[in-house]
Amino acid sequence: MGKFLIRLVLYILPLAGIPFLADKFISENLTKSNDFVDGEYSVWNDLLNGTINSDVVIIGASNAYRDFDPAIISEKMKTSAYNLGSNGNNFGIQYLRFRSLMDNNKIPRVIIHAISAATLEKSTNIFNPDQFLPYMYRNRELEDVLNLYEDFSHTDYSIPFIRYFGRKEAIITACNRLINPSSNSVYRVNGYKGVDESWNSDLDRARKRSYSVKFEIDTALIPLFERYIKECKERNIEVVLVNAPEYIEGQDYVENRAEMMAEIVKLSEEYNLHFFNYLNDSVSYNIKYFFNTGHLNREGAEYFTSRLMEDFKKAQIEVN
Amino acid sequence: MEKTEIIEKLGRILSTVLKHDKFEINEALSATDVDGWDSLTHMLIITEVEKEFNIKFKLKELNKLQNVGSLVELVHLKLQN
Amino acid sequence: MIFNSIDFAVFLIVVFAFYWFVFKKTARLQNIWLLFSSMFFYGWADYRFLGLLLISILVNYFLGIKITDTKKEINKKRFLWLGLIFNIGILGFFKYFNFFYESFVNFVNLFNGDMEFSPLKILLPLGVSFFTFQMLGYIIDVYKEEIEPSRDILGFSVYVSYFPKLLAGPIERAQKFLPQIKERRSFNPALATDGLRQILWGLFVKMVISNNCAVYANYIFSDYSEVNGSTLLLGTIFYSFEIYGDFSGYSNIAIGVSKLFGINLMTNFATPFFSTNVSDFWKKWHISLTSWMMDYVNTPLSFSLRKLKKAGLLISIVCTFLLVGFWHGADWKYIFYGFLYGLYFIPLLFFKTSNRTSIVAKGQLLPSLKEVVQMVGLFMLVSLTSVFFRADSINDAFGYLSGIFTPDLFSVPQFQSRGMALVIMAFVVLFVIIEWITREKNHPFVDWETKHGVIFRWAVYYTIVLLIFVFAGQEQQFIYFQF
Repeated sequence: MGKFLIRLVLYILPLAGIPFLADKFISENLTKSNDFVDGEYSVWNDLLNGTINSDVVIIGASNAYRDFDPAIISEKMKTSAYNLGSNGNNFGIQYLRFRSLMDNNKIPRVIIHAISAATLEKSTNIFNPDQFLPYMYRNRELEDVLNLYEDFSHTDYSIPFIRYFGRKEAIITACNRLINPSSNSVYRVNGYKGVDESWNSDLDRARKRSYSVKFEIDTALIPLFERYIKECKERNIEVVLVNAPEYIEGQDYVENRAEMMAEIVKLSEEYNLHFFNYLNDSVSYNIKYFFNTGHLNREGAEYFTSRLMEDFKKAQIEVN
Repeated sequence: MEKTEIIEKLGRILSTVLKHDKFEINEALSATDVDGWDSLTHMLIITEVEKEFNIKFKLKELNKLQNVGSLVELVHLKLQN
Repeated sequence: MIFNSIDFAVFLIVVFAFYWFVFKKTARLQNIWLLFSSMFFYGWADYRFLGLLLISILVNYFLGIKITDTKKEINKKRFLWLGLIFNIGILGFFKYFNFFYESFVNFVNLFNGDMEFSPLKILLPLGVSFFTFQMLGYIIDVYKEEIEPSRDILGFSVYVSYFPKLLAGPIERAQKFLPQIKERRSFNPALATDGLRQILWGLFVKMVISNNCAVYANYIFSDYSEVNGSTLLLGTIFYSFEIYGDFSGYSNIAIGVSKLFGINLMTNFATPFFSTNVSDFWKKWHISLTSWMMDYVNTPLSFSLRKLKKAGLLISIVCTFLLVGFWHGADWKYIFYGFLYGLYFIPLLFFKTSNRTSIVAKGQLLPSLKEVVQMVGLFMLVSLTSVFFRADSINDAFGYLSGIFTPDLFSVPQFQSRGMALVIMAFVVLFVIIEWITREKNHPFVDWETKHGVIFRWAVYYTIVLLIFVFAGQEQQFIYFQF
């Protein structure tokens, strides 16, 4: 029995030491990847390293990072711009981007917030949870926010490497970075990713099914949103709410759009914020600008951003 | 009937039902030694044995069989009654 | 507690430590500790049915003794019937009540009846299909005088509730189990090490092979009207490996864990996909269940039908497999599944097809071409039949199968994340190769310390742990827990 136990302990011992090294190794290499998890690491890296330094930032979900071209904003407003859009995520994660921006970077002058029916939608899971893996070990602040979702448990933050269990794509991506450092083409440009595609087939499939979906609102996000607006007011940041174009025929997929937007509209009135809504604008009627019902392609994004800039000028939104 | 004759007849029944004679018929032989002799074919074999010797088995008796030797014993016993 | 969880790991360490260091003096002490741990284990899974388990233990224990001790044959028979009704009654009520009730309602409504079916909310006690079958076998064996009834309530309780096999088998026979716990077990390092290796293998098979195949099988089955024939066929293959990996993995873990306590459980799987005919297959798949069905259903039934010769045997086989199917669940699709397998025996019985069961290509490295054809053919038959097991209903199953036999069977399969799917398929191929090479053993690591040095062995163990860590698929419930 004694010998059996000794051998068992000897076998397990190395397994206990490896997690620390593995965690460091995998996490470091993972953040180098430009295109894994829709390029979110490049944005997180810029946020955490304090290199955003832009007067105008865009915050939102996929509607943000696909539809708003910071190069055009930068040109028209004659200042620096950065797109902090986080694919697929509701305001909880968007707030995390905001928080990270405020804590590590130069305070912006204008925040363009890309709003949609999904901004306050209840979501039990994070989209692309792997984007947080490298930053989680012993990160109390991150844990507090991510606890809004069900993806991670406390052990994921406290025991090294355990959160990588079963996450084969992440581990393989990290190893790839080490083996193949050069194959890492730029994916996001200042956080923006233009899509060079024209219309795909998802509307046709949706038409075949002909149903609409009722979103559920996450009431916990409402006070968070208000806190966010208040903080911006205090720090003299102008928050501009924009509902980017969505192709007209797909708009009634969301059954209760008005209900999902009600709180945001209320807050915009209460705090006197500009709210630009392009759902009924001519852009939304032109299929050549879209690659699916919810997102503009590169041509559409460039056209829309230019239009937005014209509307900014008319409303006298500028950076002094 | 002598036991040797019983054994011989059993051997022939096995060959007929199992469709091969890849076995050496003797008292120590058991189902595990013979390819294809399983719970399925066992019943067919038993039915043939009953027919051949004009006897009737009870299920309880069958469960006690270990090998060909015990089968021979059982058949021999029934033939004497 | 599922076997691949931290909870179970902690539980196992505690039970193991106390078993060998605190309760080690006598068999009695060891059994008391095992009983306590098993009750805890079951209570942790579902405390509501602890009472049922205890009642089942007591009733069957006393019936066993009564059957033997009563003098008159008629009374023995009465106690036997009591036992049968009690055990089948438990199973029938908790598992099948709503099924029978609904079938009855549908039947009545066929004659323009207007009966409403409002199902009773009945919870299924975990492991009920397994321990009631164990008890049925015990009662019947005592009646047939094949075993002396246990007069040790402690030992008997351990026999019923023993935690490694409590939730999903193997369905143990009293003759093999009770003698093992009658004597004090002394620690056997070779057995314990073998157990650990078997657990590691089971974890790998469950978490890397089964869980990953499940992801693809789920995707294909849930969307079956949208994909082409070749993808559907691939889906059945993924499902076959999902269910084989899940159940054989679980069984290996259960048997391996039991070895840590010095107790041997029966083998439940013997590389069934290397069978060359249906009869052989069922001797190697879920062995504890099929051998139970063979011994307690098929043998007596085919015996009473033996006048009808092959026809009688066929009827018996079909009935037995109907029960095998029905055992799996209260749904017509499971009955149909069993029925199909019964029919598959027709060629074996009536034509010259062989029912050989020896290990295929014994002693040789490669199988013959004929054997390959037979094995692949059988595997495809099993995979296609498993659609009835997996689909939501018989209708869906037929829908799925008709989707396979269309011209686009020969086009390229379509599914996302091709890269990862290919990696998983590579693992499956590796898995099949390993099982092929070690097919004459109970699990790939049996006796391997005689062939390989310690460095090689430990390198393999670490590699497997690493593979499990990196490639563990999304956790799926052990499929057989729902039975």
